[in-house]
Amino acid sequence: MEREILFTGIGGQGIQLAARTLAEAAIADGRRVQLFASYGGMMRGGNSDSFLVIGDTEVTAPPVLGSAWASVVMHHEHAGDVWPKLRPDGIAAINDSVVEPTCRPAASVALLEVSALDIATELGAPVAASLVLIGALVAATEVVAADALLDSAARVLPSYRSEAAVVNRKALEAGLAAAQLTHPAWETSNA
Amino acid sequence: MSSRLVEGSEVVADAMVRAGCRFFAGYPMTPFTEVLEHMASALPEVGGVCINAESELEAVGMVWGAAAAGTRAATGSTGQGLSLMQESIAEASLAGIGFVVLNMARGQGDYFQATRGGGHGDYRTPVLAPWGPAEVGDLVADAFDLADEWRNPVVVIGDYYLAHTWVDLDMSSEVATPRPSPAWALDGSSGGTGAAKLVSPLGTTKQRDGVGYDLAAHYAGCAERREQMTAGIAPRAELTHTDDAEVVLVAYGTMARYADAVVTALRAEGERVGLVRPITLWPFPEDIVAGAAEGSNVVAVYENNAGQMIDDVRISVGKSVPIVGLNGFQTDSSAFGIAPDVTVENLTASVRELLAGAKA
Repeated sequence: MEREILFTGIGGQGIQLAARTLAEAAIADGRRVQLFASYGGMMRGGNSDSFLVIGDTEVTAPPVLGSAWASVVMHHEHAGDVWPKLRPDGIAAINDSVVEPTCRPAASVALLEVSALDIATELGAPVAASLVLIGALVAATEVVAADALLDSAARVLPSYRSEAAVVNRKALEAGLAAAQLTHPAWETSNA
Repeated sequence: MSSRLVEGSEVVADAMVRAGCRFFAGYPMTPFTEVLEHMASALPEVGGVCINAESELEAVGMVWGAAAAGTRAATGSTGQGLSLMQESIAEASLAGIGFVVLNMARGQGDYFQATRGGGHGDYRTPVLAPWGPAEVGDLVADAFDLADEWRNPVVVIGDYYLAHTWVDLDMSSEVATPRPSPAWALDGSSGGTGAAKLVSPLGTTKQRDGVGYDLAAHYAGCAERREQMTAGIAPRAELTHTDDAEVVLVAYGTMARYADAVVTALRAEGERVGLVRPITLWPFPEDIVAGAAEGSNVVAVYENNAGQMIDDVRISVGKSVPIVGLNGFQTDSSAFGIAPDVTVENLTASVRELLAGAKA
């Protein structure tokens, strides 16, 4: 079984870090991953997308996906490309501090609207908003274990950014507290 | 098993170090840059040297020198940078100097550059094409072995997708001890003895004193070595469901990932579709492609360019089965070779059309 998650935003919003944090957590959970990063030449403002596949076995999917189970949408600028790819039973985590209210997927897709930027700003780290949003996605889906997610906060950072690990973990915790389990990602083995 | 999240570029760099590469030089260019960065970090840790050269011209020149001195060495770039290196790659082949050349390409527009070469003279370079990070380790090791065995540059061709795809891989295996320097390598020990070693695209001995190099003799020797290399490298390809296929897809590298996904999905519906994935682009697996095409109704070559590998498929298959090209995709504005129309959905639609035609 595989779960595909599309991330979209603009450069500077932490899209790549969020995708990598979730991927690291999935590996810690014993799952296999494939993550393809795509971003423009601009450090800030250009498109920044990631395509993450989490599977029970080795992932052999193509790097860019035409169909996905979930999306993490930090900005509306490039979200129009994401909505048609979401399966009808999918879930869309949306940073509604920024994403325009008219920018939403098809009606059948479950919405997880979180004021991620506002929450991160209250923590004093607006750049960690994307981590708030994946925290909420994990709470709503348990696509990875909450503990694995929190533990990955420090592991994904390069040594010269290690001082950000504490606030990044707080951002993940705030996200985890911002949603309830409504959309389980995996079939439970004892169901 | 100790897996960690690792980027394709790092897998490439790690594979080179594991294979005993101890000298690397290059000049940054997306999507090759990360390979250079990882080599700059990894090589000093094992006593090797990585140089960010002034340009691709200097990079390949440095690698030529390191390889002539007996060190396992490599360079790389995107196709644009490799265009600048073609003279040296050709000369190195004629000089009998082996090293590895990475092409972290933008799309697949460099197929001809890799398999035909853009340099002068009567030379060939073996080309290996991994389709994802998990295959990189083995193929990079094979590339260094081929470069040593045939004393010839060997190309490993990837793309933006390979460079920027992260996977969980076990990166804990041992780093091999570099192989000893070959006997022909220049080491400065024989100067002044009257039997100094010589490694040159003009020949390894001054056959005719007073006249200089005998190029006719040298080029004949190069041609013989090339012939032996052509016969000595087993062409490789992976076959998926080709035995009874009505439609046979041919794709390499990242494009084969899409083709493989389409074949798996359509087979689940009972459709007779198969895939040939060339792993050696030179020597091209002609017999394997021809065998897979036999009995099919159509061969479709799926590549992220305007149609290059299709020429080799035509050479392989001849006119016995119709051959169509699924190519010519627009790339996005990044210029990195990302083609938005390269999707499982679009390829599925194309293959369904071919299946309908095959049944008609």
